[in-house]
Amino acid sequence: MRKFLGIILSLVILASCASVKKIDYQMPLQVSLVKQIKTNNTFRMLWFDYITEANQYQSIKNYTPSEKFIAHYSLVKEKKNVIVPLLLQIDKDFDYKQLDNLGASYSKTSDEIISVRFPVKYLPSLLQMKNVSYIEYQNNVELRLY
Amino acid sequence: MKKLFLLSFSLCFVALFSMAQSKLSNSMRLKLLEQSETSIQKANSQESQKVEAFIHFNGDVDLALLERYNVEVHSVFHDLGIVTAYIDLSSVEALAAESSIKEIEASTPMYTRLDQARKIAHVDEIHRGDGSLNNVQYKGKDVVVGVYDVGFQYTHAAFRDPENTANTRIKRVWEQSTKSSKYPVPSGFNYGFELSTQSQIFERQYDARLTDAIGHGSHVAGIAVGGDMDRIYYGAAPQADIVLVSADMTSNASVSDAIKYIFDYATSVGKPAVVNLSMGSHSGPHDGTSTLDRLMDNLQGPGRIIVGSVGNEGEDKFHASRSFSEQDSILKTTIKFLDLSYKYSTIDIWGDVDKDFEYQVVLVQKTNNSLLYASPFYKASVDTSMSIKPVAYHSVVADSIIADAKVSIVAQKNANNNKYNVTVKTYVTKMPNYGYYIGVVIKAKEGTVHMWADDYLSGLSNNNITGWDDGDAVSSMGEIGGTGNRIISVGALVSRAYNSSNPYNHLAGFSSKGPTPDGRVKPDITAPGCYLISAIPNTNRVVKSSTFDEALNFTFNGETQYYAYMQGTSMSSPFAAGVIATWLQADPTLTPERLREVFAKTSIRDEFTGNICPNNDFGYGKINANAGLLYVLGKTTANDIVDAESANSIIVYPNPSAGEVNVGFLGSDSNINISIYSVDGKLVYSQSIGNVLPGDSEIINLSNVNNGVYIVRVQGENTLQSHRLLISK
Repeated sequence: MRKFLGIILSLVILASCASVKKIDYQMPLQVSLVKQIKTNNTFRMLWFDYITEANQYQSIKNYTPSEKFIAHYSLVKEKKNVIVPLLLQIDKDFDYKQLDNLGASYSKTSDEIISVRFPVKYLPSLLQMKNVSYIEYQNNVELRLY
Repeated sequence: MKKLFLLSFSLCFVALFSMAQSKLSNSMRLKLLEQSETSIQKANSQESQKVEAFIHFNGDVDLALLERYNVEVHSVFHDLGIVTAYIDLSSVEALAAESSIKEIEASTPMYTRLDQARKIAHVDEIHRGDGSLNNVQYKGKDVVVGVYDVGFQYTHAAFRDPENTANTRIKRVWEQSTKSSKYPVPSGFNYGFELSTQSQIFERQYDARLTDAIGHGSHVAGIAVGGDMDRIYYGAAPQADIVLVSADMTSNASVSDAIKYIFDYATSVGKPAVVNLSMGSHSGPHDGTSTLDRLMDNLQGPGRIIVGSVGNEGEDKFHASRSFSEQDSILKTTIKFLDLSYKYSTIDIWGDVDKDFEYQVVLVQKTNNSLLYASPFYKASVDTSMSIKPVAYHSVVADSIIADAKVSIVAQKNANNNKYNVTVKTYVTKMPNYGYYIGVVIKAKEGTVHMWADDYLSGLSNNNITGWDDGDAVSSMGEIGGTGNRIISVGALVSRAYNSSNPYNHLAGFSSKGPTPDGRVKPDITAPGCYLISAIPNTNRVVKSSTFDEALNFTFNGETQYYAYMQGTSMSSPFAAGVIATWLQADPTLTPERLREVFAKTSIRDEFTGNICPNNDFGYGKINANAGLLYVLGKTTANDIVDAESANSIIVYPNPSAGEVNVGFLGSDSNINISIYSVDGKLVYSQSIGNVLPGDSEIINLSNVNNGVYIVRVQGENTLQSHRLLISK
């Protein structure tokens, strides 16, 4: 029984990885995608710079965020991914599988706001998610030491 | 003849030099010696440093003389012939040689200890259970205090159980920035790892963020919950349970996760909780409508409190605003780069709800106030993402670029508050350090526009260009700690003066101020935040750092541990959080709104806070732990509240005393006489101490008197007060 469950679990994990690997976008990416969901200005700037970088590649599969981009936006390296921590405002019909399918992790901080650690590579998919009303990214958090 | 002349000249020089040296205090001579040793080490170094000093004159103060030596005068005491000032060390000896100079004395740093901060805020009374508390002690027992920060030493004596120092009061740790194969990810999250047992916490010892050299998190936590009762540097809630989140310091999303983690733990153990956030930013609307502010409003409630630092920008020029009209339709200011080697700036501009405005980026030359580059005016209501390149060419040498920058602009209506928001990011690739400036011009005929520079790499300034607007520190409260509707935002109080610009009992000059753009008062309260001594980690990087001075090192469990001083609203916020933890011990259902009522009824008000509270300097006033607790317990009404301490108040401490007593002065006065009588009227001590200044104290030795109650009577030109004192040896 244990072996059977282990095999099932492995298949599920492999399937989810495979679904992420399948993601690709028609290049070049369009700046205007960002208008589909409301965002704050810092996220817009991040998106703008992401587009500039990613459009140098023919396929998003080959794109790796540059160290300069990572440092400038305080992004996080997690294993093979580069992550951007975001706050999303969602409505009650939001389907969390949209995040699962992209390898994003999340915390349900409240009914309407979730904290998400999202792979930078798949930002176009974030901007096409359903039942998301607002994306906020704010870095430059400083200690209050005088 | 020549030899005689040279000999005479040398003798005169030596005499003058000796005379100059004799006019220097030992502390000043030590600083000169340190400076010369530093110069030898850095061969031919031209560096010189400024030092704060008392300059004593023979007779009247001569400001013209000081100006000739480029002395930066702070305060002038004509009656005493003394000036406090900043003076270049390289000028000290020459100035001292002037005949009108009597002495130049280097100022010495004065540190507030946590015991002084606790005294000012009446925390000791609630720890002891004085008066109406009937010996019931309030130290934050059964309350969770969460600290989101970086730089923790988990094994520090400050975080032990005071009743059994072999045990820690740290219940949980979440390190956000690192993964571990040894420790699990916290439940409900997918990053970092969690320590949930004492053995794991002791084994780990320090957080992964200790690549920095500050240890900020230990200091902050120590102020809130330090429990090292063997030494005097314990905090406001020394019996509270502790949950630490070592921050990844990436974004506000991580802040929200930390708050949820701490509150979830508190729910799991059925305890009230207060979270401290000693951090902030200046990107955002500053009006409580950011997603994080809304989330924090949502997460707070009965027994769920968040406390934050209001900010340290009270003296910084990084904000500008204008309420526009037909007659006043232009706001124009320039960027002041704070790091001339890395000219980078982010300016966040916010309009009124649904009120459009226009903006323009320019490159201005100071000498003739001319625009070398001017972009078109763009409407903030037009959704924009663009880059522009202000460039200025040399007027004589063709095609030679004087100044060159890349400016990225995003403009859109913000969905959270319907305000037009323009963010301008500037990176200068080439520009002389002086004379050329990037500017932003705003044009409108109605509505109010606020702009904030990041204040980390840039500020706002008129750079002394005629007709341009200077930056200011109005609405300097920061996002995260200073802007939310329900978060308790804390300003910093000077609990011991450290220079003439920040006198005792006043608001610290750096403490940020309101109002928020939507008209709310910030901060909500003030607490001690200047030069507090608290725990720091004992790693080499922190201990050998030149960021701060050590106050104490001691041996604990076979290893050396440390206390050091820091200042900022980083320090005042956890102090208030610790006090609130003691109130939560009394009433676990306190809400942010109830806390504001407690502040309104019980905070200390004096001639520094003014009687009109809340105000945008002190909020409701200075936190009073004892009066607040009594109010929470219903043991007093607003009418019974201890009156605001006047500037001429005296404090007598410790009380009870084992023989040595301090009489502290909160205001200035002259011809002070201190007399101490036994209850049967016998005079046991009398001393005239002359004039006093705020923060002065007189130490009195009563080791020869018997145990019992005595009356301390203090009389001066403006003072007549009596205090009961208990001697108990």
